[in-house]
This record gives sequence, C-alpha cells and structure tokens, in this order.
Amino acid sequence: MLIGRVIGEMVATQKHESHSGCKALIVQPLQLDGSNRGDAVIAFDSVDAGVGDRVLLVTDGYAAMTSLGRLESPIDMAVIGVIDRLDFSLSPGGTGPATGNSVTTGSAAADSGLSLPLEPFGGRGQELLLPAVPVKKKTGRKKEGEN
Amino acid sequence: MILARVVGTVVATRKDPRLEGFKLLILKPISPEGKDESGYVVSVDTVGAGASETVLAVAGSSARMADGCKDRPVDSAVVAIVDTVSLDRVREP
Amino acid sequence: MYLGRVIGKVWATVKNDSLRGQRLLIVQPLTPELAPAGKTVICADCSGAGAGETIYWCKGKEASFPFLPALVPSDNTVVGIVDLLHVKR
Repeated sequence: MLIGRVIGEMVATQKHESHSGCKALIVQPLQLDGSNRGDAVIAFDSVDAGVGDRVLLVTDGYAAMTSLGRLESPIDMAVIGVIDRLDFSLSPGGTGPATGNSVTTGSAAADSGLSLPLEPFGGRGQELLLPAVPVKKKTGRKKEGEN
Repeated sequence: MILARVVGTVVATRKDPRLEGFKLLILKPISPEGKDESGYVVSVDTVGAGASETVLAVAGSSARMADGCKDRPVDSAVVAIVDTVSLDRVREP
Repeated sequence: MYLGRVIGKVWATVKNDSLRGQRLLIVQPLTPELAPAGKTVICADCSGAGAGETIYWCKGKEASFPFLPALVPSDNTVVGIVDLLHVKR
C-alpha cells in the first residue's frame, strides 16, 4: 500500500459497466517526506474519503477489486483507508517516533512534511463539489483548477 | 520479496473492515548490506514485527497468500523477521 | 487507473489470434492538470473512445477483464471516457 492525498474527483459517464456506482478519486501518491511520488492516479473509493484526506492506496488489482466487491472488473487501484496518523522515524537508530498533532485546515500549504496532521473525523476538503454537468459531446472535458 | 526495516506505523480508523486487527507498518527497503534504498511501502504485519526490525515483505497478489490475508484487500505483507543476512564474499579477479 | 489522452491508433494485420478485432489505441498518459506524464502506451479499448478524448485506463491483469470470457492478452486497456475532472492541489 502507499500513502496518498486525495486531490480531486473524476466523473465519467461512458465507462465499463462494472465501474458504475463507483466514486473515482484523483489521488497523488506521496513520499514519506510529504513530497509527490510520481504522478497522480485514479483510484476508486471504498471508505468515503474526501478531497484533502490522506489515504491508504492499494495498487494491486485483486486487492482493489476485493475492497470494492467487484471481482473480474478492470480496476487496479483503490482507496482502502483514511489515515488518522503516521508515526515514523527515518533515522537509522530509531530514536523515537515523529508524530503529527496539528490540526489541518485542508490547505496544502499547511503541510509540514514528516508529521502529517491529525484530521478531524468526517473532514472534507474545503472545496464544494461541483454539481454534475450534462455529458458534452467529444470535447466535453472540463478541468476545474483551484488555488 | 524485499528486505526492509520497519520505520513506523499507520493509524487509520476508517478503513476497509477486512483490515481490522492488522497493524499497518511503514517499511523502508534496504539493500542486503543494510543501506536504505529509496521509496517506502505500507504493509500489513502478519508476524508481529517491531520498530527498527529488519523484515521480509512480499508484494502483489502473493501478499494475499500470507496466513490470514486471504480475501483481504492487501497488496503488501510482512512475512518474516530477519535474523541474519549473509552475503558471499566476492573475490576480486 | 491512470488518466490519458488518445493520440492515435495502431493497425496490425499479422497478430496473435486473440487480438483479432481489438482496437488498439495510442495513449499519452496525463497528469490531472492534463500535462503529459511519461511515455505513450498502447492500450486495448473497451470504451469506444475517439481521437483526442481524455480517457482513463488500467494496467495489469485487470486490463484483460473487460473482454471476458474471451481471453485477450491486454495489459493496458482504456476503460472509460472522462467527462469532468475536479482538482484541488
């Protein structure tokens, strides 16, 4: 499993039928220091995570399908947990855990790196979800940026 | 399988119910000489490994074959605590 | 799954029988900001995506599942066409 941060959501009406009813999240896998680990991926959600949450991302297909209860479906990644806290220390001797204990406002700028903050239960990103837009022809992709 | 050392734990109360009762460990891969390699992985613990221990972790679908991991959504599991690593000495030509 | 854009097609007359009739698309992987992210890949298609569309695709053994019970040796398959991306970094 990897640690990632939910940075958005994806909507697709035309897709494989076994994907219907799945919530598709855009997840950015993270390194332990909080920096990005490669490119963001699309993962289906099985724990009702929201934008801004730190999550556990599983990258094996069968594990992802099992978590969603959809076997024989072309799914290779899923969010299987929302992280409350990370305790770790990278120093060789293991001089004790570095724990996070600051409350986040959901802003990426508040990240301090090693100690990922404790997030309140049921916390969602500050961003409001956009209402579903009608399916547009061919060039109907719309990206909503936020800063 | 990879050689890794346990560097921390992940606490997640909201998670797939099939992960209940499993400790989630943060592992840092290491070379056979003991040096840290890049990256990390979060694995379920099936052997009771503690902090700073050197372990073997298995990834991919094979992780589900570990005892207690059948039908659980895991893609990485700690399957052994390492006692010794012995490397053959390379003879210089 | 990964985001991508269809940038072309591959035609092949001589191929493994199990790929007969399969559409093969050239896909450029994308970041959520729709910037290129790495090398292009060749994907089988189960979504009917057209040129230039933003799609999402999956890798691995799961990529052969949309074609079951036919056994198609695909390790990358386009599984859906993206309507909307909502990104907040």
